[in-house]
Amino acid sequence: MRPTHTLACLTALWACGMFAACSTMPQATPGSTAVSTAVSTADSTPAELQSAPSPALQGNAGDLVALVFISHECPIANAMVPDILDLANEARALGIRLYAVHAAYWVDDETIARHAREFALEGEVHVLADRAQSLTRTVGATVTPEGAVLRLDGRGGFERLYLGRVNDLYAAIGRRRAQPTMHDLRDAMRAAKSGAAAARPFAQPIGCFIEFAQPAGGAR
Amino acid sequence: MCGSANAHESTAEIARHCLPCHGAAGTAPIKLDTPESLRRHRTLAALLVADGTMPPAVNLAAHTTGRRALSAEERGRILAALEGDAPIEVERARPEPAVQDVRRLLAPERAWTMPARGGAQLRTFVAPTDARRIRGIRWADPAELAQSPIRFASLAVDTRGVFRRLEAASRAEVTEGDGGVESMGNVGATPSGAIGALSRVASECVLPRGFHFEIPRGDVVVEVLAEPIGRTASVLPRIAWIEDAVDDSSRPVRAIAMPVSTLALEAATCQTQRLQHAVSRDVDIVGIMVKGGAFLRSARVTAGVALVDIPDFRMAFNEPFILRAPHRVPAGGAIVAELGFDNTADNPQQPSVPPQPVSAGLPPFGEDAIVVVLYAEVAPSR
Repeated sequence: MRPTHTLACLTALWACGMFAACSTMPQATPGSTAVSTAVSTADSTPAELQSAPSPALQGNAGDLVALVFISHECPIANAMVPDILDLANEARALGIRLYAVHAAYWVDDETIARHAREFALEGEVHVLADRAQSLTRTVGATVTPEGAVLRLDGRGGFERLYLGRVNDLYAAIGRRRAQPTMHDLRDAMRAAKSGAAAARPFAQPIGCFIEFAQPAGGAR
Repeated sequence: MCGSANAHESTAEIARHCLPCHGAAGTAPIKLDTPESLRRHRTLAALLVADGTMPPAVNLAAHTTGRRALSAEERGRILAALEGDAPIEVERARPEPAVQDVRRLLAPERAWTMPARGGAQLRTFVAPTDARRIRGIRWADPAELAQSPIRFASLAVDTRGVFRRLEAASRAEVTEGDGGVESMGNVGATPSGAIGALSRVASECVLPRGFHFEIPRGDVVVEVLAEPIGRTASVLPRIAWIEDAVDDSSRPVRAIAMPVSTLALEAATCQTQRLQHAVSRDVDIVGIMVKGGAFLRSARVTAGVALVDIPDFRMAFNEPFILRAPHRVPAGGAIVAELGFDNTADNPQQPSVPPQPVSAGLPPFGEDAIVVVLYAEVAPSR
């Protein structure tokens, strides 16, 4: 049974206004292969707009989106950045939009931009800030790094095809392999593209727990 | 809910057990030194404290200084503090400031640039030194470790300049970021670690009072175990000497090397290697180091009693073990090390699928395990 999630909808006018005002990232046409590392700060808007659909969830029905929740502070998430870059290349080849999503409520734009430069995400991966943590909650991520593959419904909602670890580079805190031997998120992307179900819809991620600023409040 | 006195005690436990590494000037990348930073990481911190991962005390034997496993009461107090809002006592855990005095510094001239990905690597650096007697070593600035690939560094004296020549011969021309050589840091029969070691979880390595390392003029080689951190990163181990309280009655400390020299791990097998060193005269053991790679899973070192007992070896959390008090081994006694290796798919750090045969060699696909025992003769020969 795959859960289907739907975000609170905003009018198209609100959404367009928000992105025009707040996103410095070139708008990715759903299914396009455009890349950017400019930070989308979709949540740095007035409170009434903070439940707006994330740009990651904008698109046509059937579009596939991959998310990797990251943290500039988490050493495990950072160690996996080269793998995320590989995934971005694979996603482009598959026609899947991939976003790296900063899930911390306290991270600022300057920190995100510096992190993108230091870790060579710049120019390679769409980077989103989810300070409101609405995308993080809606998708169900709890750890960085954690990946998800979604099929959009075209109305701001999605079907979650996969959630969990990116790969098995880390078996536990302090236990890093020389190289990953299982590539869960990559395999889930490939399965989604082929129309097959992921071999496992969930794989336990290892990393840093995402601290939420507010209680869940029924968002999940 | 705890009263204020208990809350105070709880946050003191965090200061005592967490902030030496997770303070502003500590080696850990995640900081827990303010109420806000603690709030940002409290779920992770609570989970890792609850399951015993943190603080990372790997040695269950109780004879050593440094970190140890928490008692149930201490663990409970930390967990209570993580759930509360009492301010943390930052002052109590503030580590010593960075060493600025160049006369106390041991610093290789050139850094090595570690790639963003791949396995753990050994890199050995050379730095010159004057003759001196030292009680121990420490990171020159522990905060440098927070964003560094360095996991462990061990030192040995190289009076004949072997590694300096090796470094010069290893490259046709000097380029930025190619400092050091890919090699273990043993110098002839002298094991790396003979004059101490440091790690992410051991910012200093200090001998008991009455003992010292004798450092002759020449070179010191610094063997570094480093793990990629997701971006290219400069590796340059900067170390400071600790020279206090070394007097004429102090005894020099030497090292016994107990290497695993003939390792042959078949694929999908486990193996225990038993190493034994016969002691020919009375000695006082003052420290032990166990070094190993991805295939080393357990280590136990005994000399009449268990001195080191590591049931779950993690090279990322490894540290040198200095004994609280010297342990005497009489002539005719033995030091025994039992090292457990795992080359099965169940090894959480297994780099190969399916597992491949492993032999002695450099990480990440070789295994270079060694036990280094620091000792002083009871009646030193002159």
